[in-house]
Amino acid sequence: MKVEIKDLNKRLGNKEVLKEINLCLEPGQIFGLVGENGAGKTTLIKCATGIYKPDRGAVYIGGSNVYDNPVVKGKIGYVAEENQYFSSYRIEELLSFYALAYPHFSPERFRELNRLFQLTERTRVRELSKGMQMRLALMLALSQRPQLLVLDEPTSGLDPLAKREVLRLLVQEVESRALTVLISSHHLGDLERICDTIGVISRGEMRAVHTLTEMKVNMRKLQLVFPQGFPAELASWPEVLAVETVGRVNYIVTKQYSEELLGRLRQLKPLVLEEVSLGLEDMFIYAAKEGYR
Amino acid sequence: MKGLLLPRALFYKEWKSARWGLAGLTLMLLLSQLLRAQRELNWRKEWAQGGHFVPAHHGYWFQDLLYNNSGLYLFVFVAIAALVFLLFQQDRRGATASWLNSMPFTKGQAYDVKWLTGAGIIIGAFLINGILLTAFYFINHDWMLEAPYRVVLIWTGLYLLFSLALYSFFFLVHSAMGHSLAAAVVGPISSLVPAFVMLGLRGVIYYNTDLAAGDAIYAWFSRVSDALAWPYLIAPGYVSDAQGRVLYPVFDNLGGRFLVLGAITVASVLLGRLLYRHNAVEKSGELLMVPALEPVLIYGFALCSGLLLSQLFGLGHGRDGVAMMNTLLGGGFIGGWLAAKKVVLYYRQ
Repeated sequence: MKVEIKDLNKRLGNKEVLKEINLCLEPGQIFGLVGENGAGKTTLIKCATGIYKPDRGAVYIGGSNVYDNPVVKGKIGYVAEENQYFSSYRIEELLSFYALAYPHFSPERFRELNRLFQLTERTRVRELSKGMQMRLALMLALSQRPQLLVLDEPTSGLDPLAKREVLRLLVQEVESRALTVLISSHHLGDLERICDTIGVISRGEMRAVHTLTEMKVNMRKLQLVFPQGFPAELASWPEVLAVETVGRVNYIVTKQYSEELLGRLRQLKPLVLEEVSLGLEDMFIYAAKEGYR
Repeated sequence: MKGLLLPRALFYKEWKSARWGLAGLTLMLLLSQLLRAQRELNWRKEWAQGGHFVPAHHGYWFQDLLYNNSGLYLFVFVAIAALVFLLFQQDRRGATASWLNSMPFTKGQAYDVKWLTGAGIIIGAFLINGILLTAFYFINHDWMLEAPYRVVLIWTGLYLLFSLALYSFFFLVHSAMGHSLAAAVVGPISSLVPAFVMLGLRGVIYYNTDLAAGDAIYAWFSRVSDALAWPYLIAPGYVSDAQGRVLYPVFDNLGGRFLVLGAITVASVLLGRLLYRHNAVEKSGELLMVPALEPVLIYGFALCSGLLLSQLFGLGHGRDGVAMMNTLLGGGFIGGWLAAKKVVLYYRQ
């Protein structure tokens, strides 16, 4: 299902949390949302799921505005970071509630998934640990057979085995029925494993949206040592995103790596010019800090 | 959802939240009416078997017992406030509110189902009580003497409508507030405010002017205060004999009472729905969901604080203590304003 976020603005209290967000997610896309704490990720997710009413702009899902729209909301699976269910409910009661609420909810699918996670249906929600509640939330969301899955920090509280299982399930769902996924996480390694596109949000603004392949091609970290010190003009080259110096060694991070750039660098006659590995986490940090677009 | 106008899932949820309200309300009604009637009847039977004289007006004992139950008002008041709290308390917790608002229901549907579930519980409790009272009446028909069966219908109808009106009013307050515990306190208090304010203003005007207790303005304040007091709507009048002896209680002007209660119910439901539909989820947990009502709360609380202080500690001094009364009125107003402002800000943070 296509998701279009147009000129989205949201204020919480006196703080402008989202500013002019524009974004488009195609069916079958797994979109990862990253940003520092307080950047606006959860607010964006809450607007995208129709929980918050935007102050300006709108979120369209499958061409319809999501806010106060039960038909569209019936197609969205939402997993929040924080436990939210009625704590006195047993899991079996939550299943009944979901089966009544969602047109495509399948208790059979839930039980199938539960073979992996092994939750007892007679257990009350308040008796579950944080990790177990997250498993429950994920199973409920997947059993809705949603067309859009929105996940806010879904791997928090999960042990490594459960996390791997969850990520595997997500990929499987996307492959089997062109599910669109919007996922926010601080665990960049998780995002790297499953996302095809990443959006970097900072201080309420969408700083960058790139496919992972694009980022890996364009963002490179190069180690340089010059005999006469670092040439100052290099920092202002349009391809250079960031410059760091450690002793005599200089590092540049590119935002548009090319052979032509490498050729120009060689003309400066560096003593050392070699590429060093740049992890996804570093890419996001540079992207967020330096305004990579 | 599944094609229904009102989602069954919401009925399921609300029923699970408030089902104990049905048990509580039913039990309370049975204890306060049927059990009392049974006890009274047993006593009468024993009294008659002992050959004691039963005065003529005791022929209306059942009517008297049903209509004259001022204690029940308090119980109904508390039970309805608790019922509305049960319906709202889960939805106003931040994370739960977010989860529910991500689900396929409109705010209007959520409001309608919530109100209908609570109203159904109230109607159910009165229906059970009414059926049992009917059975009691006909089983013990020979002991009902002068009381016609319609007293059961009238009492049930009036108290049911009264309860629905009170319920809808509390519902309106909860719809405007983001903190259900605070709303459970503010709702009942605010239902008493209009009558209290009129009485307080009457006192202030009386002591600050040369007004006499028999003057038209004084009488007007008294009348309006009575009309704004909830218990007044279920207070019985009395039929007396030629010698002025009270024979039995009646609910006079029944049509007018039904009309007023119906109007309160409809107005509260419509206004509550309007407010609820504009509730912003992010304000869950704050004192007020509707910022425009902040001045009403702050100045209302300030006025009530001033009037309460002036009435509690100023009135006893009569006209000699007007200065003290006015000082307390002003001081209470300022203190109340500051306190209310602080509370609103605290919940906003």
